[in-house]
Amino acid sequence: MAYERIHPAVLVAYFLSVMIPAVFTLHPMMPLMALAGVVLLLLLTEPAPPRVRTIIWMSLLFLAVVITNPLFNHRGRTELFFLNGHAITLEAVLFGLRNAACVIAVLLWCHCMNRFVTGEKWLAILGRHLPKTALLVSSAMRLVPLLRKRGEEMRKSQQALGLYGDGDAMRQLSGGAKVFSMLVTWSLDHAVSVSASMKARGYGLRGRTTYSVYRFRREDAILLTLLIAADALVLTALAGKALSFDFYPVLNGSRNALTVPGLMTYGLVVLFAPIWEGRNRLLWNCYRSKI
Amino acid sequence: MKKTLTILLLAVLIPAIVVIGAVVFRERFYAWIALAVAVLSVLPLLYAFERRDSTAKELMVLAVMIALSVIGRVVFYAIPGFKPVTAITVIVAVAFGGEAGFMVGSLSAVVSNFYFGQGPWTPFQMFSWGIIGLLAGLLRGLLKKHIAILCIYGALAGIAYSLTMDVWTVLWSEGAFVPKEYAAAVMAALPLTAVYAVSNVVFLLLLAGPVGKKLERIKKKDGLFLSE
Repeated sequence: MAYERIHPAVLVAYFLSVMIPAVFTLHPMMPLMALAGVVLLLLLTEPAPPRVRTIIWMSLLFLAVVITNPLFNHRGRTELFFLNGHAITLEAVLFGLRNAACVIAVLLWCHCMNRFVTGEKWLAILGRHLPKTALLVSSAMRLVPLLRKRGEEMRKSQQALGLYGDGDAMRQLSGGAKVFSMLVTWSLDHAVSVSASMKARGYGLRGRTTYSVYRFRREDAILLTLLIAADALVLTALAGKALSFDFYPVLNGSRNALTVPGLMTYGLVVLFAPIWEGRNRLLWNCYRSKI
Repeated sequence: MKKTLTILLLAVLIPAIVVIGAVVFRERFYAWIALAVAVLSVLPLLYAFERRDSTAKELMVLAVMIALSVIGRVVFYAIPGFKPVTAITVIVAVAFGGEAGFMVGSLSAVVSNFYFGQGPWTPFQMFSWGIIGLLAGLLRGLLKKHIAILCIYGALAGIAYSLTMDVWTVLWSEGAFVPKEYAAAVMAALPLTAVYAVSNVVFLLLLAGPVGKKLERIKKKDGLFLSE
């Protein structure tokens, strides 16, 4: 079953199960595993290699987060060197590294989530519980390209009439405001006529149901059950202090019977998406060679 | 029935979130609670809007205003922090009331993030812009008096938005609220804060008159938001 066929609620639950434990715990293994998982997933699913600009931006962000912590935080026992009379400690640097790994991992997982859980899937989830909000969001999403096109037409016609020059900044700004104002008039009228046709088609009548293309299949139920079981195990391990970790004053991770199962379960959750994607790739290649 | 269910849900949900934070995510308790506060303060307001009777006309007018503020954010994408979302939210709130302002502010965050990317910052933006709209609606009597008061509100809203997002930045990267680091984040974001405040004032000066008038007109002509 490809991602497109998995119910969006299950997809969202999956991404939350990956990101929440990585963000809200201190155990250094969690963000590292999340980072490893998302890099694998990106290697398998990203159509084009990342742009240089993105890589530079990410590295700068990573460095900034790593540096901030030891600059402001002088706890920890292993002093590396002194800066302006304040100790820069190994523990603080490692804590900064953990934070940076976490920030980058969440950014990349969010990037994947935006790819897999598209706008219309969010609307399918929200539509049942918040129908008016979902209607607002979906109408606005449709209006954005429409109004941009309209605005562009208005701007061009104003320019052709010589009313909206490319001259100084002030004229440019007032010309832009004028076009925007016209756009508001046009779109408010558009809203009124759209609402009239909505009413004519029975919007707001009692007893109407909503349609969703996404069915909750047996496979979804199985996936969700497995996910909840894995989450329960990870949360139990966290609650049982099996994955506690202190950076200060010295690095100190607690261990008990649940530590290894907890970490392994979280690792399985994180690796599930790349493994699933790899399996689908293999299947696709096998089938294709037969056709 | 539905109301008791909501109360029950809140009565169970809020303690449950606190307990989960204290027991499971105790090392990052503050960040967890901050996210929970952002989500839980947006949800009841969305549900209140769902329960309210609103006509198709009102919904479509709100959708148009959301789309316009999103277009503004996309058009001025090149200048960081220069976006008309706050200005449009405030103008809508002054014309149509706090609930409409809240919806336009918070949903502009959602819709524009379908372009810029959703992330853990989405609930915080929904919260900040939504509350700016809600407050503008509550203070609309005052804000209508003079354009200068409206501009002061816009500038303050820009500063408050920046300060709120800085809280979130510090909590997200550090997991705890460290006053020193918060001060550093605020200092680092100072130019951005200035751009927020100035752009809000510029957009309010440019748009409050013409757009506000149009909204007032359509409100009278088509009988929108009369209960406000």
